Amino acid sequence: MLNETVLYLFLIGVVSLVHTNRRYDFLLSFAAAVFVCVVFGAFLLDFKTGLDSSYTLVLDASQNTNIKLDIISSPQNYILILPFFVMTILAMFNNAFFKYEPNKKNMAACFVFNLLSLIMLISGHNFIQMMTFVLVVDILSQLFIRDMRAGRLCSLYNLVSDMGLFLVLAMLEGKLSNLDVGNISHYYETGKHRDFIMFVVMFSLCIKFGFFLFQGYWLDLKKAKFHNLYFLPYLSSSMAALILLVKFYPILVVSPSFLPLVNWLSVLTAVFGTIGAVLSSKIKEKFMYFNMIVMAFLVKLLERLDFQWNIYFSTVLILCFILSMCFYYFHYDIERKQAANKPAVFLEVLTTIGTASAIVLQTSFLFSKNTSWWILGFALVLCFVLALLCRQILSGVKNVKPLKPTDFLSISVMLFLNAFVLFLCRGEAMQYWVVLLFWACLMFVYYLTGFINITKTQEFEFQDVDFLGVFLRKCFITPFKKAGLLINILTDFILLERTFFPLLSGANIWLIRTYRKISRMGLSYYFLCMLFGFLISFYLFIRSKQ
Amino acid sequence: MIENILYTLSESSLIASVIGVLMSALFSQEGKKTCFKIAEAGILVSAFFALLFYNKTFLEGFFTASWQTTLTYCLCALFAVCWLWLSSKWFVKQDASSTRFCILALLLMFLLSLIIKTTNVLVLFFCLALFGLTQYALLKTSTSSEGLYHYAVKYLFSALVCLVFWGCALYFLSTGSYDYGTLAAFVQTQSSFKAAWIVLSLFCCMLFFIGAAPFHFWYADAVSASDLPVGSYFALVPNIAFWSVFLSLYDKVFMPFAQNLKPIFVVFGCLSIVLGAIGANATRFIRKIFSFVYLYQLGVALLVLSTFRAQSAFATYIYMEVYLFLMIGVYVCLFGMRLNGEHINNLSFLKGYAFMRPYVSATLVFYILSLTGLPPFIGFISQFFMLFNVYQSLWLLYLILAGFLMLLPAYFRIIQTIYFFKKGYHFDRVEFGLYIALIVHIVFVSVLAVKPNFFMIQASLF
Amino acid sequence: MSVGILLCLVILLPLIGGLFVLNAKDAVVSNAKNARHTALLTVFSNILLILFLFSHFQSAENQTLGLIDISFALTNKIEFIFGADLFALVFVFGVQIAVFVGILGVKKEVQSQKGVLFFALCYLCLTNGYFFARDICSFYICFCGQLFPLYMLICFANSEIQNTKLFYLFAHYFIGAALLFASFVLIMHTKQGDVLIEKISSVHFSHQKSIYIWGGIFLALMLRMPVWPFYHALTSVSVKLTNPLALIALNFLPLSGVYALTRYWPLDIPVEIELLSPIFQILCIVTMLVAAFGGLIYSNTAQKIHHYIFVYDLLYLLAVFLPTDVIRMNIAYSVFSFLLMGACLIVLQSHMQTQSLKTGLALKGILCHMPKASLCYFLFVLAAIGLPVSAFFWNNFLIVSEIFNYHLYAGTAVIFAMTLAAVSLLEGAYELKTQTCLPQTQIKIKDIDIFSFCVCVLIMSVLLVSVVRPLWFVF
Repeated sequence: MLNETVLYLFLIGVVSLVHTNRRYDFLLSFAAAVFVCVVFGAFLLDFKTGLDSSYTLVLDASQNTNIKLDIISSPQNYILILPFFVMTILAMFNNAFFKYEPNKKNMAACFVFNLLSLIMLISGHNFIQMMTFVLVVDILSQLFIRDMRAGRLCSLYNLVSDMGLFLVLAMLEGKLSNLDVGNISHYYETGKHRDFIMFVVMFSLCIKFGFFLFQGYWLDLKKAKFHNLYFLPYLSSSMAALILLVKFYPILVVSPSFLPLVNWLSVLTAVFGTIGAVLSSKIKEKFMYFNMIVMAFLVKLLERLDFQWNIYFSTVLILCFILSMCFYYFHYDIERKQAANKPAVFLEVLTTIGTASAIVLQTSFLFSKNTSWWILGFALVLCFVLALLCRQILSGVKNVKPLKPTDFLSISVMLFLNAFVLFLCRGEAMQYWVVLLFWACLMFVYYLTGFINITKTQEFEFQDVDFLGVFLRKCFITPFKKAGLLINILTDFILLERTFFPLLSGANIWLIRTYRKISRMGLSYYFLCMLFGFLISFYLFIRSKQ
Repeated sequence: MIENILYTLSESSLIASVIGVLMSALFSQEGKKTCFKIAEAGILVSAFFALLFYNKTFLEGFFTASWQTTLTYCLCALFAVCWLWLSSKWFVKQDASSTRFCILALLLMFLLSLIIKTTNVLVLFFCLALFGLTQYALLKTSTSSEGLYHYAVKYLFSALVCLVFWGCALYFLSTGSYDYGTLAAFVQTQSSFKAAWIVLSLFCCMLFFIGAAPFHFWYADAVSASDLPVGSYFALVPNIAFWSVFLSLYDKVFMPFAQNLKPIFVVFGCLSIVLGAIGANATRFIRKIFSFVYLYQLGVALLVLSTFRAQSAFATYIYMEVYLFLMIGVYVCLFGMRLNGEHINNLSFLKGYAFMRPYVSATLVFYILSLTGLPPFIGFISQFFMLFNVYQSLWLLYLILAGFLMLLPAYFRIIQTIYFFKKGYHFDRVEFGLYIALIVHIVFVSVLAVKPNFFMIQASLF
Repeated sequence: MSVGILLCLVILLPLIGGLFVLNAKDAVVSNAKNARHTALLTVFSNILLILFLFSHFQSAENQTLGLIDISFALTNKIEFIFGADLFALVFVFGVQIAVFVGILGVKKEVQSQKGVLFFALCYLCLTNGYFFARDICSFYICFCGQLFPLYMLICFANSEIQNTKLFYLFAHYFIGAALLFASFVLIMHTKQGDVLIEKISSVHFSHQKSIYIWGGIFLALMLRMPVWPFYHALTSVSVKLTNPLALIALNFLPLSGVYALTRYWPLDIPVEIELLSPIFQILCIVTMLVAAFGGLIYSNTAQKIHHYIFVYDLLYLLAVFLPTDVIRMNIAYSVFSFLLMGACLIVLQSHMQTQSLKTGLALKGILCHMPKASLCYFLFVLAAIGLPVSAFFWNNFLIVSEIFNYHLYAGTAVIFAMTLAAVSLLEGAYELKTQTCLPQTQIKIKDIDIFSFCVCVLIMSVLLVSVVRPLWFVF
C-alpha cells in the first residue's frame, strides 16, 4: 500500500541524512537510489494489484475541524505517482555518478523527501495536507538550487503563488466548512466568485509553471548550477502545480474564462519560449526557455485530456524529463568541459532526437483519432528548436579531445536512456509515419537553419533585457511601494506627526504659558482668584436657588 | 470642674510644651534638638490625652469630642511628630535656632485641636484668625528667600479678606445660632442673599485654608518657596484637620443646601483638577509639583463630595488620609536629597540622582506611583473607593480620570529626571535615620495596601 | 503541591526573581552576568512550573483549574480571583519563552542591565497575573500595572529615546487604562461587588450604561492594538529601540488586548457598538495593508519585523471579532507559535545590529559571516512567513478561512497583507545573506553563542513538533 511506500521512503530519507564521512557519500547515495528502486518495485506490484485503501492519521482535533494526514491508495493516484518515481530514480542515479556534486548523500535525501512530498500531495484528501506539501516542495526546491542569487526570486515568486493557493483553499474551507478535496465541486453550489477563484488559482499555478508573464524567476535560475537545475521542472514546483491543476479542475472549469485563458497562456508561453530558445547562446538558457515550451505543452495536453491524467501522459512526462537530461549532458560535455567528446555528443544528439520523436509519437497516439492542429504546431516548434540546437551544438564543437574514463559516463547514460526510451515506446500500434514525418521535418529545418545568422548583438540584447520584469517592477511593484509611502506620509506623517500631536502639545504649551503669565501677576493674581471664586459661587448659588 | 480640667489636658499639654520649649531655650545648653524633643513629646502626650478622653470635652456647647475628632487629631499629631522629627534634622544641619519654630508648631497644634473639636462657627472663626496669624509667623521664619516675605504678606492679606467675609456672615448669624447643628435651619429662614453670603463665606474660607481652587494661589508658594521644614508643615500637618472640619460642615451645614452647592462643588472641583494638572506640568520645582498634586487631589475630593451622599464624605476622608501618609514618605525622601548641604528643590538638580542614591530614588518612585493611583499600590484602593461614589454622574467620572491623565506627565518627568538623565552632580550622603524611616514607612504603606482593614475600622467610626 | 499554590508561584516568581536581580553583586563585569543568570533561572523555573501545570489538565479544554479566591474585603467586597485554563496557559507559556529568549539577547556588558532585567521580570509577573485574572478587579490591576514596568524597561533600554514619542505611546495606554477603570467602576457598582469577567455579559445594565461600559472596554483594549491611528506611536518607539527584551515586551503588549477580547468579548453587544463594527473592521484591514506596505518600503530588517508583527496582531484582532467562538483555541496556538518566532527573530536581528555597529559593517550580507545565526534566522523566517514548519500555518489557515466565511473582500485583503508582509520579511532575510565583497579574513563578526544557538534550535524543534500536535508537551 501507499502508506508502506511512504514509510519506506521516509526511512530511506532519514538514513541518508545521517552524518558520515565524505568518502562514503557515493556509496550511500547509490544505496539510496537502489533502495528507492526496490520500493518502486513494490509500488509497481501494488499498482498491478489495483487495490483501493486509505490510511488517515489525525494530527489535531480542534473544535471546528480535524487536521489529518490522508494516504489514499487508488489506481488513479498510482498513475499520478508513477512518473515521479521514475524521474526521481533517474535523477538519483545521475546524482550518485555525477562527480562534481559535493553533497551526494544530502542531495539523495532531498530527492527522496521531494518524492515523498509529491506522493503526499497526490494521495492527500484534504486542503491542509495539499497546502503543506506544496510548501514543502517549494522549500526543497530551494535546497536543490543551493544558490542565494538564483533562488531568491524563485522563493519570492513561489511564496506569492503559495499565498494565492492559501487564499483559495481558505475560501473553500470557509464556505464548505470542510477540508476534504472531494467536496471541491460543491463550491459552485454553495459559494460564488467562480471567476475570482479561477483567476487566483491560475495566477498561482502560472507562477509555478513559469508561464509567460511569470517567467522572471525561472530565467533567473540560470545563475545556479545546471546539475541542480535540470530536474527542477519535473520534480519540483511545476509538477506540484500540474497536480493541483488536476485536483482543482472541478472548480476551474465552471468559469467560462478558464479554457480561453489556458489556451492563450499556453500559446504565448510557447512562442516566448521558442524565441528565447532560438536566440540564446548558452545551453543552460536554451534549456530554461525550452522548458517553458514543454510546460505549455503539458498543460495544453492535459487540458485536451479533460484533465484526466493517464498512463500515456505519465510516459510523455518521463520522456520530457529524459529530454532535459539530454540538455544537461550537452551542457556537461560541451560547455562545462570546454572540449567536446565526439562520440558522446553524437549519442546525445541521437538520444535527444529519439526522445523528441517518442514524445511526438506518444502525443499523436493519444490523439490518433482526432488529431488537433496544435499538436502539429508543437511538433513543428519542437522540430525547429531541436534542429537549431543541433546546428548550434554541432557547429560549436571545435576542440576534440581523446576519450577519458569519465567520458564513458555520458556514453553509458545516453545508451541507457535510448534503451529506456525504446522500452517506454514499445506499445502497440506504432505510428511510424509520424516518426518519419518528424525526422524529415527535422532534417529540413536543420538544413534551413544553416542560413539563419543570429548576430551577437541580437542575442545579447534579447537575453539581457527582462522586458516583463521591468514591466512588473514599473507597473506594479513601484506603484505599490509609492502608494505605501504616500499612505504612510499622509496618515502617519502629516495627519498624526505634524497635525494631531503638535496640536496637542501646542495646546499643552499654551496652557502652561498662560498659567505662568497669570501666576506672575502677584497680588493682583491673588485678588483676582478670590474675586472670581466669590462671584462664581454667588452666581451659581443664587441661580440654583431660583 | 476637675473633670473639665482633665478634659483640657490634651490642649494644656501643648501649652505646657510651649513653656517647656521656652525654658529649655533660656536655660538649657543642649540646643535645637531639645526643643524638638520637647515639642514632639508634648504633641504625643496631647494625642494620648485626646485618645484617653475620646468622648469627653470641655465647654460642651462649643466643642465636641467623638471618634472622628479624636482620630483626626491623632492623625494630625502623628503627622506633626513626623514633620518635627524631619525638621529637627534640617535645623541641626543648618545650625539655625529652632525655638521660635517649635513654639509656633505647638501653637499651631493647639489651634488645630480647637478647630477640629469646635462645633461653633464663631469659635471656629476666631481660631482660624489666630491660626492664620500663626501660619503667617511660621512663614516668616523662613530665611530661604526674600520673595517669601511678600508671599507671607499676601497670604495674610488673603486670609484677612476671607475672614472679613466670614465676619460679615457672622454678623448675619448674630440673631440666630452659631452652632453647626442649628445653623442650617436658621440660614434657610433667611433671604437668598444672606443665606448665600453665610453659606458661601464659610465655604470659601474653608476652601482657602484647605488650599483648593480658586483660593489655592498661596499654597504652592508657601510650600515651595519657604524652607523645607515650613513647606513640609503646609504639606503634611493641617490638611487632614481642615478636611475633617470641612466634612463636619459639609454634613451639618452644607448638606441641606445640596442643590445650591452642587454646581459650585463641581466647578471648583474641575478648576482644582485642571489647575492642579497644568500647574504640576508647568513648574520645575519638585515641592511645587507636589503642591499642585495636592490641589488635584482636592479637586477630585470636591467632585466626589458634589454627589452629596453619605458615603462620599467617608471616601474623601480616606482619600486624603492615604494621600497624606504617602506625602510623609515623599518628604522623608526630599529631606534626604541634598546637594552641597542644600536641600534640592529644582528638578534640574536631580538629574541622575538614582545612580548615586538608588534606594531613596526607588522609594520616591514607589510613593509617586502610589500617588498616581496606579495599581497595585495603595493609592489605587483609595482612588477606587472615591470613584465608586461618582458612578451616577458618568461625566464626573471621566473628568476625574482625564485629570489623572493630565497629571501623569508631571510624575513621569520626575522619574525620568532622576533615573534617565546623565549623572551631573555629586549628591550628599543621606542620613542613616532617614533610611530607617523610609523602610518603616514603606512596610507600613505596603501592609496597608494588602490589608486595608485600618480603613474599615474608620468606616465604623463614621 | 496544590494547583492554587502553583498558580501563585507562577505569578509571583518573576517578582521574587526581580528582587534577587536587584541584589546581584555589584562587581563591574560579574554584575552583568549574575543579574542575567538570575533572570534566566527565574524564567526557566517558571517555564517548568507551567509545564507542571499543564500536566494537571484532564480532558476538557474549558476546564478551569486552580481557582484561587483571595478575598480582599473592603466595603464593596473586592475579591481577587485567579484561575488557569488551557487558553490562558498557552498564552502564558508563550510569553515566558519569549521573555526567556529576550533575556538571552540582552547584552552582557550593558550597565543598566539590572534595571532592564528587574522591570522585565516585574512586567512578566503582572502579565502572568493578567492572563490568570478571572475577576474584573484583579484584571484591571494587572492590565494597568503592566504599564509602569514597561515604561521603565523601555527607558532603561534606551534612555535617549525621544520623550514626546514615548509620551504619546503611553498616553494611549493610560487612556485605555482610565476607560477600563471607568467601565469596571460602573460594573462593580451595578453588581455591588466584584464580578467574574465572563459573567459581565449576564449582568443587566441600562441601555446607556451598557454603551459606556462596553464602549469603554472596547476602546481600552483597542488602544493597545496597532490599529490606525494608534499604531503610529508604537511604530515610532519600536524603531528606536535596540534592546531585544524591551522590543519583545512592547511588541507583544497588543497580544494582551487580543487575549482579553478573545476571552471576554461577548457575542451579543449593544446595537450601537455593533453598528460600528464594520467601520472598525475596515480600519483594521486598512491598517494591516498600511503596515504590510510599510514593511515593503523600508529596507531595514528591524522595521520589516515590526511591521510583520503588526500585520499578525491585526489578523488576530479581526479573528476575535468574528461572530463565532470555534477558532478560539486556533488563535491561542497561532499566538503561541507567533510569540516564539517573533521573539527569536527580534533577538537575532538585535544581535546582528549590535555586531554591525561594533564592526562598522553594513547589515547587508552580515549573515554570510554568522553561520549559526543564519541558520536560525532563516528557519524562523520560513516559519514566520507561513511555511508549515509549525502549527502557525495550520491555525492561521483555519483563522483566515473563518474570515472568508464572513466576508470575501476582507479575507482577500487579509491574505494580500499577509503576502506583502511575508515577501518583505523574506526579502529582508535575503538581503542579510547577500554576498559582500570583503574577504572572509578581514571580517571579525561574533556569531551567536552556543547556548543561544541551542535555545533557538530547541524552540525550532518545539515549533516543528507542534506541527504534529500543538500541545505535544501536555502529558
